[in-house]
Amino acid sequence: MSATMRAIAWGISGLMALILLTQPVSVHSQLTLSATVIVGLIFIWIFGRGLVARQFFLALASFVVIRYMYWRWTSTLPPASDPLAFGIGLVLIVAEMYCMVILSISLIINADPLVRPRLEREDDDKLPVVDVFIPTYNEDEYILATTIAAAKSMDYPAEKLNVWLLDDGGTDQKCNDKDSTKAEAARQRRISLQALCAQLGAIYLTRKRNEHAKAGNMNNALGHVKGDIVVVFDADHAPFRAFLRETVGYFAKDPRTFLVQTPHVFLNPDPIEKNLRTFHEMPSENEMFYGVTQRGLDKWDGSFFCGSAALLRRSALETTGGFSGITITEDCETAFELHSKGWNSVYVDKPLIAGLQPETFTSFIGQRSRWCQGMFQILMLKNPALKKGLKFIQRVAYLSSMTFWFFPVPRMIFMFAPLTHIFFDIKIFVSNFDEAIAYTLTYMIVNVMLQNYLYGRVRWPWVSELYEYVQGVFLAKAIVSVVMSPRKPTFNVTAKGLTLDEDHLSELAWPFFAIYGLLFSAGLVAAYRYMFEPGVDNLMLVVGLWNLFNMMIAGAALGAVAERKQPDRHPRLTITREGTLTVGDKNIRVRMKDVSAGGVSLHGSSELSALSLDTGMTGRLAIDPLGEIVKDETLPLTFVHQSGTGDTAVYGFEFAAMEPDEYYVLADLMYADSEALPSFLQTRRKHKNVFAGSARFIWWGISEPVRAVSYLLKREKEKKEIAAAEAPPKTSLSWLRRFAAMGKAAQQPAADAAAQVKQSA
Amino acid sequence: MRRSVHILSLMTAFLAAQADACLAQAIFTTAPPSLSRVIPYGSSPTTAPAAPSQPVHRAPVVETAPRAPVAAQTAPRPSEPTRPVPPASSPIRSAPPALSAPPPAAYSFTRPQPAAPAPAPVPVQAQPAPQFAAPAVAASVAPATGLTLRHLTNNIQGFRLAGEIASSEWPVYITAEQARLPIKFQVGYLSAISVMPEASYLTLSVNDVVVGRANIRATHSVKTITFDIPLNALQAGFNSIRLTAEQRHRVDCSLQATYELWTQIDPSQTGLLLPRSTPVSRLSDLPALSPDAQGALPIRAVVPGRTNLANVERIMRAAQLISLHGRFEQPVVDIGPLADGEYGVNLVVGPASDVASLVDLRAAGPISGPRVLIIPANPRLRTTIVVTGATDAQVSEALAEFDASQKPIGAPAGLRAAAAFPGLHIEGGQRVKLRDLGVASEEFSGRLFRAAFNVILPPDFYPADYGKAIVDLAGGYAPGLTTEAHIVVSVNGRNAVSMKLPKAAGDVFTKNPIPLPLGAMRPGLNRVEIEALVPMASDSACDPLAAISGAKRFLLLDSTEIELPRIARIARMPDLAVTTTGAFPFAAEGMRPKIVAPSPDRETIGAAATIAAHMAIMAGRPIDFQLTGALPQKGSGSVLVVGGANVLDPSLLRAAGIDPQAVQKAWSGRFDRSARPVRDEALSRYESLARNRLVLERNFPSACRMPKPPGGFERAINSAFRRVDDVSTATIRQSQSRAIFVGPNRRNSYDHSPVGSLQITGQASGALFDEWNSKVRSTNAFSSYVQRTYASMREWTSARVEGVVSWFGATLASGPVEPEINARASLIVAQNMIGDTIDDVWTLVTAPTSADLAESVPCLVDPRVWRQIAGRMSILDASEGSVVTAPARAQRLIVTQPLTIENSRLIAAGWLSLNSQIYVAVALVIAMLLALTTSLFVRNVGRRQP
Repeated sequence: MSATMRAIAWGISGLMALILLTQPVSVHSQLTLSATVIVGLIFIWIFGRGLVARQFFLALASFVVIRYMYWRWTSTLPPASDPLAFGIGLVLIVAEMYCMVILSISLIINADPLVRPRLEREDDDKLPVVDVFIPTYNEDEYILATTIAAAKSMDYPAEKLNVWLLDDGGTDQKCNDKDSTKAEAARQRRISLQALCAQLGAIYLTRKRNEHAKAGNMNNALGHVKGDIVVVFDADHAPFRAFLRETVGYFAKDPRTFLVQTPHVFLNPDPIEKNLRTFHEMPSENEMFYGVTQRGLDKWDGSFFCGSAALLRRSALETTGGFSGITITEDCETAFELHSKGWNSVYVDKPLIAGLQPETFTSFIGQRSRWCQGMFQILMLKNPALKKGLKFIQRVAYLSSMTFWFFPVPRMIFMFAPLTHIFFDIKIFVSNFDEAIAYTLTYMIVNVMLQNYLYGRVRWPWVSELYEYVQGVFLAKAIVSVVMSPRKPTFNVTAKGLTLDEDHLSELAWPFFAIYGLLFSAGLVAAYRYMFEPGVDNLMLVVGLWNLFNMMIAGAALGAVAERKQPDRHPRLTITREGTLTVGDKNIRVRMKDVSAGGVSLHGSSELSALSLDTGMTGRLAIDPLGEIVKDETLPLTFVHQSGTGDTAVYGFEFAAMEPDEYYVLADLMYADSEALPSFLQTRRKHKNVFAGSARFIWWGISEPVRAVSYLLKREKEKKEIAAAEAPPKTSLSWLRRFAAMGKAAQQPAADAAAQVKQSA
Repeated sequence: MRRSVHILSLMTAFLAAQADACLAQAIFTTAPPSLSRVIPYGSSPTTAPAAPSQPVHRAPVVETAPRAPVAAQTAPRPSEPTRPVPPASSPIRSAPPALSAPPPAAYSFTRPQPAAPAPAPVPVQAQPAPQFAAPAVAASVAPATGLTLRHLTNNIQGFRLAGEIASSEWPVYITAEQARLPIKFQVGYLSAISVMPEASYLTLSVNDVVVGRANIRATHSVKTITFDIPLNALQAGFNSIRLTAEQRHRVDCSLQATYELWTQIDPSQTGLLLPRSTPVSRLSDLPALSPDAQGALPIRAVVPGRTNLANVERIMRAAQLISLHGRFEQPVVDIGPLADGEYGVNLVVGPASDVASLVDLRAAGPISGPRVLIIPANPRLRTTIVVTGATDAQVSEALAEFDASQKPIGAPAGLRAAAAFPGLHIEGGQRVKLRDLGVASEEFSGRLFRAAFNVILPPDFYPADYGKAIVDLAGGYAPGLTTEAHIVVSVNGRNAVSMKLPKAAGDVFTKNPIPLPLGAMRPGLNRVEIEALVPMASDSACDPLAAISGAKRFLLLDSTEIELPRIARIARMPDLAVTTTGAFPFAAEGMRPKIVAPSPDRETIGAAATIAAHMAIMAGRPIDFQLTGALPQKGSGSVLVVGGANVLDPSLLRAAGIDPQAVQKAWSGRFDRSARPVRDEALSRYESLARNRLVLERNFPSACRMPKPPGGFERAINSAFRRVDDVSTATIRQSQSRAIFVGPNRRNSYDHSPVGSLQITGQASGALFDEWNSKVRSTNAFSSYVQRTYASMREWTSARVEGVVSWFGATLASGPVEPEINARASLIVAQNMIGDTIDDVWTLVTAPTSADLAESVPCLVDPRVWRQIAGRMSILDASEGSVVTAPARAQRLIVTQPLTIENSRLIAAGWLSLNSQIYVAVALVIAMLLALTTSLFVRNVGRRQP
């Protein structure tokens, strides 16, 4: 069967489905259909495997969705004779329509996510020359040292691997800042980083002026490199040893390939994961994107550059004059431009870097605002629908990635729409109870099942709604500002590596309290009116339940902005490595449990307990290296604490001040075993079923507001105390202490670093 | 009194003498017109035997009955004081205009005949020929005091005004001459005993203007009220006459109790009181013909000369035309010699040569072209219509002219009422205002408001829930209603949708949309009721005084609109309801429908003509039936078989879907004509009065033959009086009053329950019940809320479960239980399709013999009975006036309209709505197909999975 025939067959069956689904059948028929579909979905879920089963599942589910939308448009709009209700009803239906469009596009994009097999190892002499870019602006030196060491440790012929540290924090412009303190700090930074690079075998590069932010920085570097392939790592994204072996081969396979992107994996929780304590059990928010969507896009040659953990062909970049920098999301824009010139992209769904992500709610929102605004900039300044050279499906893919960021608006509409009925009796939705069951309820069930089927492995139920709401409160404003003036937003570097010493409320918390209060009072009003006000009917019940659901989201969001203290400054990665610990004159074999940038934990053993370690005792750890770089370097350790006894005991050690070449040991320890990261992700990629997920969500909705309010009360109490006695500055003290210790090598005053941190926050 | 008895016996003799001539009239309603008609005072008892209308004051039943319904008092004195409404009061008493020009009492022509070579047409003013203008007529016209009662036509709204508010509207035609005369309106009525006279009113509106109002007092016996109609209120042509009853219960203010309230209009005592000198003398004035005392229009078809099929066809067509033009909803045709009487019409159709032997046409001059003549009534002859011509062809031509000559005239309200006869025809995509449906704006102070109207949907309307008709309610409600306050819209007696009246502070709206599922409607006639249940907390106290000066609670405006969405157009057969109320397939485009009368005797032809006339009424236009004696070829046109079962070939019965053996078993004893059961045994005077009262109480279709109950009518009534209601009566009553319009398969019944429901002990037990009820139910708001929620959930769930169970039941079981054809069956209507097209629809009307047919058809065509016919087979029990139906097992679709995309889509939607399991199966198949093609498609586009 030819491609045309297949397309026609698909078109005809789609048309038949549409014709059938737009039949205005009775509510009874609808209920029978929906109920059958739900049973069918469960059946496929349990017994169905393979592509056809998947398509059958999607087709059945979309039938119910289409029926719902058809019904919404044809039967549920308030009459135009009531302009207010009609207007609000229309807004609501358009918001739902948006969600449906996004859903249908995502169904197309995720029709058959690509699974790529592992590349075969190539001969060293066939490998291209690779230039690794590590752009930095204000990251700490120890972070950079780790990243550079990890980059240098990648399994690749050393003569073909150049690592470039692109420092935008030490540009001429920064070094000559009007503020002399800042200028001094910049100069210090340049000197110490130059020294670091020299010791680690990397190339330090800076430039005159900070133009076009990250894109400008990298374009500057492009002028200095000669290699075939450019690899970009964010300063806090350290690659695993196998990174290049798993990726670079795609450039040889297809000369038109301009990009090989790999997923971003974070070792630390985002603020929501941290505050709801889900990091170790729930898949991260971005896993849906990297685990499903990028693979789906890859099927259509539409996966795009995400700014880091990616390889690009230099010759391709040169055709567009380097990285694009019109918008503040240079990554997507670059891929967009190259796609439109006929270059291809590849996505490798294997976690090969480990990075850090924003830890505070404020910086999280800052990062998301940048993404959101940047995507809108591309949409408005370089409309994918009109861009020449893109394939149709690529247009759809880019449009979906960009319009996705419109979500704050419908989310806010869904949050507030019920209030119009509860408070003002506006009928926003004309339906009787039977119809509400046959259409709305079954639609919601099918929708949840569909989400869970597509993304259940990487996303718990209702978590999307929570993230949308949490961001939506602020992003709605960001959208308005970018739509008003698309060229205005500027690149703000996302602050990472911040630590939190105490439980407190985020400074952005107040809108969440306000909304929660509003919804809570609406809930009370709805309950009162339904129970006691004569004539208030089932519509109030439905709307009240809807409001209750919103309250659950808003309650969980309160938890998300009630920041918990972060006991672990450095995120740990579980490893299974062995080495030799030297304490005093004793050498014992040890097994390592986990490692972080700050220290390592060892499994207990009889030899270890025989050492009878005391806090503060020092030693050195020699590892059994996996890579070739580490020869006889060892890691300096300081014993911190022991938990448990005997074989189940865990011994925690901090790294003492490290020499630059000792970072190679750390890099080998952390990043040499490429299976460490996937197995870490696998521990939390467990399917959460709808019921358990909903129960968990409801629990958050109930318990988290209590915690948030307790923080609020605590803050009020502290405010009074502070007013009485001026509190000493509390900013990241322990971090500063560590920095000061490291400063021996870097010779950078701690005060400067503290100032930098404040600046970026 | 003695004289009355004497008259009665005379009358019985008269009846016996007429028995042969008036076979069809041997039934009570249409029976001897003289029996109940109003006669002029002092007219000779021999020419017009005085009626039972001088009741004997003996039976308690009739104790307070009026003396002869208005009959001729010297001055028209209302027997009840009317309460004239201010604006209308002044002109009433103005003197009638002098009758300077006596109304024409001669031939009337369809049109002038300028080309007629023969002697000039008889001038209108000319003296009537002696044969027609008998001296008696002149005598009866002469007395200035002579008044005649022109009855109202029985219509689909019926004579019963039930509930707290109810109204019925008639299009009433008056001639130009009558319009100049002083006219009164008399209402004879009987009410339920629970009606509180002080707070209950009967209101008469003429052309939407209230003309009079009177308290309802006739709770023990029929009373009459006479209203003077202001002189210019009535216009020549059609006028709207509307009677509205507002009734309040004496002791019980509950919603349930409102179902006990009714007022029955006694058709024999109700109508326009006209000066006698106003016979119908022009063809255009045909609608001014008087129906008989029960509202039926007797049409006596006289076949001049040899009976041939063509002539009978013409008679049938003429009968249809008379019914249509006159807006007579209950024409009853019989065949016989020229009949006398004040009511009804003689119809003579045939070539002049034949007609001349019956009627003296000399006055009309030589008949050389198509002519339609009218001979005004006289004591020996009803109004007689002669359709004639020199040849057969000219007779047909005359008929066509007769049809074309009729353009309705009248007051706007009257034309509207005439247009809504018997219901307004509406099509998909149309909006109709309530005022065009005859519903007036109303402010309402009771508890249960009700407004009803009839619409006729196209017979090929395909009913299913693929759309919603929107009732855009305009009106409002007062503050202080309880939470139970809501509006229910019911169609054909079934609740279709309800809507709460939610605001405690009341509300006023101009467009409050209530969606009405299309599946609730059916093709043909639909009766739509808008009910507002508006109880207030104060009702529990029930202060009768409050009922009298009740504050307004609900407002319905006649600007309320009904919007019918686009509807699917495809017919389903068999479905007798569509045939009887939509005239399908007879009125559909295509081949001429055929009436097959295997044994075309007089009774059969009369029955067939009666049914044909009813089909025409429902179609809104005449139907060109072809009469044959032989069985037509399959597919040569839709067929209506009419005949006695004793002469029908068993194969015919089988073709109509009836088991011949069952018929044989049930009726074989009656096949022998000589062994016919005696019709009505002679009733005593009291019994006949008692029977009349029972008929009124039960809203019994009076053309049906109510059998003598054990112990007689009198005893039935007395026992009804003595019976005491208990609390549950109201509930029973509710279910019964609801049952009247319920469709197939529900054994229908009229108000059989005891009527004079005095709540003697009922009150006490009711109070006890209330006490318990309040103790148990309303402990606190929360628990009542919980109960309410639980109850509604249970209701909802059980409805779902029931739906599923019935679905499985329908799938597994072989079908509903077939109603049995037993000896009580008087008549069977059956329908079947012997092929796939509209020309293959066979409909059969049969009774044991043709005599039984002639006896039962008038009962069948009473609107109250006619509307119950449904399904594949309907069995009439004439003694009960009830119909049992057998639902159609498998209906076939008949394409009637071009299958445009829109129509096909709606038909498909309708069909899938009715066959949801198929819908789901198709959806699953398409989903599977889509999955396969998508997999194929997706696998081969974009990057391939390695």
